[in-house]
Amino acid sequence: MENVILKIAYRNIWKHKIKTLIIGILVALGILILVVGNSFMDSAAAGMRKTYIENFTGDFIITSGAMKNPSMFMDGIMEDRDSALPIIPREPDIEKHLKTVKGVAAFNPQIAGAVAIKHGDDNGFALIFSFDPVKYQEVFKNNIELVSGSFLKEGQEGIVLSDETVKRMRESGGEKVAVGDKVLLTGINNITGTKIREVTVRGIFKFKNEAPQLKVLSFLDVNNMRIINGMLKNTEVSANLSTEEKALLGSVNENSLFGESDGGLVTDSSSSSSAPVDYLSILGDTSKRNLYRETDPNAWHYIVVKLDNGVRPGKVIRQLNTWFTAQGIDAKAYSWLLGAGAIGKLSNTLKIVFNLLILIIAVVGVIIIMNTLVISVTERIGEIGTMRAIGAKKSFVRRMIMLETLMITVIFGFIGALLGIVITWILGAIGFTATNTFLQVIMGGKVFHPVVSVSAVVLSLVIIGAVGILASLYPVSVALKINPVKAMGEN
Amino acid sequence: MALISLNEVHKIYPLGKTEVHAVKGVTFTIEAGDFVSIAGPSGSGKTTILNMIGCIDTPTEGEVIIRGTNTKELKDKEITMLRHDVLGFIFQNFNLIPVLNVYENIEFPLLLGKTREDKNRRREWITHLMEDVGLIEWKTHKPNELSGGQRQRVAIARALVTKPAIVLADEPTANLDSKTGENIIEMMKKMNKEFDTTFIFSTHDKTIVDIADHVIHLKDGLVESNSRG
Repeated sequence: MENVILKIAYRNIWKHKIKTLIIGILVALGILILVVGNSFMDSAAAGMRKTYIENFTGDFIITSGAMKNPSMFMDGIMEDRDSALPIIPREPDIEKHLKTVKGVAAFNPQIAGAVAIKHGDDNGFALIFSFDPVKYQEVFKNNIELVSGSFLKEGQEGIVLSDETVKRMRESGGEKVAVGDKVLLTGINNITGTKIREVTVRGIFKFKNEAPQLKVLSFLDVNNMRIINGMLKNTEVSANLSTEEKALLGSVNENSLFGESDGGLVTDSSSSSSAPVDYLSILGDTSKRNLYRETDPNAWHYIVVKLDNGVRPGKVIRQLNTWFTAQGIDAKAYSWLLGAGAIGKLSNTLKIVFNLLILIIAVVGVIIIMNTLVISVTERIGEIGTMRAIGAKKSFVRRMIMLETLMITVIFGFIGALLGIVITWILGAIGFTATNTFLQVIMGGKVFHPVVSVSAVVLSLVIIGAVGILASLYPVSVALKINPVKAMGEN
Repeated sequence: MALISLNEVHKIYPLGKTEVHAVKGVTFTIEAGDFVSIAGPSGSGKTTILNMIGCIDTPTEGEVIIRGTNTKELKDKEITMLRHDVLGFIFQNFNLIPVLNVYENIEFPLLLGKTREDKNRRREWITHLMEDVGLIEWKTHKPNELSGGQRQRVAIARALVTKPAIVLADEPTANLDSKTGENIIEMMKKMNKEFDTTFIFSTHDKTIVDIADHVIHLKDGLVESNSRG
């Protein structure tokens, strides 16, 4: 029986060439758009993932549990300028544990911040990452290219500027900042106030990846970054005052300080004939104060973790988060995507939008195909009625109509998928140049080479089937309602 | 026991807000091997009665009994099986499947059944039928390449291919010229004798009514006369 159904379906498709062609072109076009579009999206997402994993976030990141936004990019670092980025608690314990976690290839604790840079009349801005240079290069192998100078050495103070930052600084003042020059860094946050540090430019570099979002990134030694960020020892410890000190504070009030009476604290030099005051000795011994200026060597904002090839980040993230809870450490591991912030999520958002558009196209396609098939079924009332009259079961009619629809959608769907593969392949071979920064961000570089996405082809095949089945449901129900008695009066 | 019995059969069709009483209490029996003509003018209820015997329509009142089974009690699947195994149909408009050729059209009902005959035996049987209706040389032609008479002969062969007990033909000559129409009725008569199949055909053509050996005259939904030759 299947042979005769196949024969009838095939010959009917061939007989109604124009209708078949209209439906077929629609199906092929829809599938073509799906394959090309999703291949573009998947390639862009893979490019962006590669950009971030290889240059920015590693396979996943660890932050303090108090981190409001785990993004390592501007949207995370600058999100709340009224409170400092939280420091990972018990960081040495986490490092110790990471060394024992199976699948972890390397990790790198980092500090992040943002600074204004001044060099004579040159001004610039940079997003700063600070780290142990050895550990950084264990996680991000060969991801940068030195334009001049050298990379930071272990324990060395200084800054390595991105070539884009140098270019912008030079454009702003024309002073031509170079390796060996001193630059002034001004910390921008409302917590520690304005902190200015003078550092030496050790090198100028660029990322091998051309993604524009990486170009604002420069590297500063950890000590200076911690000072700028106010990540100092004992910052949380309250001073223990002696009874005498407390008594002294107790006797001082606003009126005594700022009223007419000078309270004996300030001496009018013009009316005094005594010797000049030694201001430096007023505070007495300040050597202990230096303890509070010492940076905290265990203060880190992020740990970026690189996994061995083939290890699934999700599993390790879950394991670590369980361990943090068990140990009572307020830290959390996040996927690279959350570390990548808003820009990192952009390609995913675009893919969702694209797939919504595809869904709309698919619905419209289903309606058009369904409508054309219903017309085709109503034109064949006599034929279907005759089949029913001479003993064809409803299942026979159902299979016949469904097979006709599926044959059209599958044949033209495959043509569309094949064309989509060829077009993507050609575009991949010649490359697609991004005309603006937005596209460069999405595509992960200036020239984009889309590759055929297996998932896009599989998805298109699923959609072919679904469209075929959905589009045939209504025509089938129309066909099944045809009474054999209709065969008596129609042909 | 009669092959077919109609007992006080009524058929009322709704037509907008009114009703059409197409059959108004018809009773008759048909014996196995009969060559029956249901005659009458347009609107007398011929097609409605054939549809009810053919189980493609149901009576509003009364009963149609085929081989002792009240068709009203059958479910959709059982009715489909009855139509396939016991009944053959010849339509006024031939109703061949346009995308199948002569051979395939005749073979089609055989492919719908549960039991499958040996392919060679099936081919022999179809070839025999094609020879009987004189279409052996046209076996690969599609219906649109055939004349009206040839199409109706294909329909006759198709109706007989499952070796049914009853063949129903609704005005089989209506779309044919009188000579071709007569030939078709003669052919049906020949098949009636050869396979002992009961043929029931409706017609309003008085010239071919007489070929039948059992004539049921209808008028306004009622049996006017019921005579056996």
